[in-house]
Amino acid sequence: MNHILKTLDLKFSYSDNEVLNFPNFSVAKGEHSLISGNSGVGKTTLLHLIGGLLTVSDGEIWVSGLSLSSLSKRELDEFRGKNIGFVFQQPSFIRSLNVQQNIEAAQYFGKGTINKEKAIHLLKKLGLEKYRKRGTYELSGGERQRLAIARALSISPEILLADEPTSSLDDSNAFNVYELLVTEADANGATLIVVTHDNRLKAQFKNCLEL
Amino acid sequence: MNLVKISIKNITDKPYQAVLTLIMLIMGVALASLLVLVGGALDDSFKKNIKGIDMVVGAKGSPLQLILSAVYQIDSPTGNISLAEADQLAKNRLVDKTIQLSYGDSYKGRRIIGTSSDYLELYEAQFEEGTIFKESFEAVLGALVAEENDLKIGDEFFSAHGDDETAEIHGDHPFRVTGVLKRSGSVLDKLIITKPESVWEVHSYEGDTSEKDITAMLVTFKNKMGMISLPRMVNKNTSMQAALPAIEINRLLGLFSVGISTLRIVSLVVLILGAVSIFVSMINSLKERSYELALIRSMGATKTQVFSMTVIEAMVLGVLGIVVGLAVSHGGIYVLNQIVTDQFGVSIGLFQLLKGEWIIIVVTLCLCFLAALLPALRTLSMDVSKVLSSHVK
Repeated sequence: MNHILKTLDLKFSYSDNEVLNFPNFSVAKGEHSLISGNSGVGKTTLLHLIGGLLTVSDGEIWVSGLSLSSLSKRELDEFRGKNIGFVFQQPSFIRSLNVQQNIEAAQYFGKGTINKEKAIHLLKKLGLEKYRKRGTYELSGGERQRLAIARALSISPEILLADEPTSSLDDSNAFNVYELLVTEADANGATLIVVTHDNRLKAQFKNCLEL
Repeated sequence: MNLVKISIKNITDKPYQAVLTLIMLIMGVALASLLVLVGGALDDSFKKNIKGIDMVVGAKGSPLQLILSAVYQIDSPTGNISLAEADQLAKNRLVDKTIQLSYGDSYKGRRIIGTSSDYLELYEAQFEEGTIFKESFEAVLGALVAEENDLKIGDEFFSAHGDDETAEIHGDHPFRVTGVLKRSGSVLDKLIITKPESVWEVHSYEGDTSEKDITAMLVTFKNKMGMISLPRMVNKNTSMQAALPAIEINRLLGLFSVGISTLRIVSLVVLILGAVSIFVSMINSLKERSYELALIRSMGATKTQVFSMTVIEAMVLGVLGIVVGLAVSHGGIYVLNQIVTDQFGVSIGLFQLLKGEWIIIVVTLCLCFLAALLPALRTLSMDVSKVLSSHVK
């Protein structure tokens, strides 16, 4: 099986009378994909289910052939740290650590080992090398987003999960961020899955799931 | 990059808060350790000197004064007693050993004690150089006395009347040094010891022994019966007074102990305040940092790691407080020792910890752990997904 992601009859409920049903969805390795839908239909919930931050109520998710519901909480943490790179809508960092240390922290928590060369390589590539000893709060909005992408890719994840990466940006910036995500995902061997209500991105992806 | 490093970064990210907490921890630890050091040295110094002395006999007056003067040599004598009467008591069947002391003269403020070699044996004195006195006007010096006055074997000096440095000098009888003792931490360090005849001759006592006086007599009992009957007998039937050093010293230390236990409570309160400061700053920063912690979880950190980070932060502060606090108290005592060597001689190794200080260390670490426990437990029950999604805008 060369599917990087596959879901089957996925259900999730926050409470008994509120059950979210998700259509079946599969993504081949390297096939960048899009999950779209309006606010409140469970996009972020699906993202968190794929990333192992939530566990399914019913149904099954496979990531790289691994069934997530068979994992313990502890194993889920390990799975997430090694395989999933998150890029959240609001880029956030560990305040007390500088730019480079934030990337190293992600490697430490995710893989247990630090790869300094990889961290510096990514910072260089995303134009952040000159800031590597700075506090993350000194960066501009665009720089923060690039740092968040660098951090997510620093663990060489199987899947790069981006939550609304473009919704607050104007057209040209939105396209730039999209380009960056795709280029860097390819360069680092990750499969990009974007979750968004931003319809501008739909045309760019062949594999789309509409919630 | 590891948990300890991140925890330290989190501490230094809020330097003012950290300094405030540290000051409280340092003050608490330093105060508590000072109490242990000084209290222990006080106890030690007092107890060391009464070892082997069951009873002290001297002229009537304050029993505490008698003990302080005859045992510790830090108060004026209560007066003189007759040698004949003392000798008679020494023959009592309940008395094991006696040591007679005659004093009243001094050299440069250091007391000259006329006594026998038994007095040196009582404190297990060892000679740095020379030997014990054989004739009158030969003297053995305590380590401190020799050091202060730069006196060596063969040197001569004149005694003065009383304890006062400016007192009248007895000019016709020089003392000659025959030996210098090793430093022992006992009362011997600051004494000049000679034969009782030297003291009598300075004051020109002549004729038969019945006229001679001594200042005090240290008594060891044969058995417990002595403790019960002898003091009463002496106080009732003789012109002398009997005092029990153990009882008097306990009474004296009892006076100190009120102050010491008050200070002990103060130091504990300061330590608790330090812990509360850790608790409050953690609860506060936990609210601010809950998103940060959820983020760390999303990177693959386990619950245990996030829990440990919070605990380690408190423990790092605790360890810093302990190290600096102990350094302050030990350094303080060390400096104090350089200034006042002669008084108590609180002899403390700069890097040596007393048992009481280990208790302080354990108590401080426990307080810090408890302070971090609740904030850390709250990170365990955090709903990572909810915290992450609630942060959007």
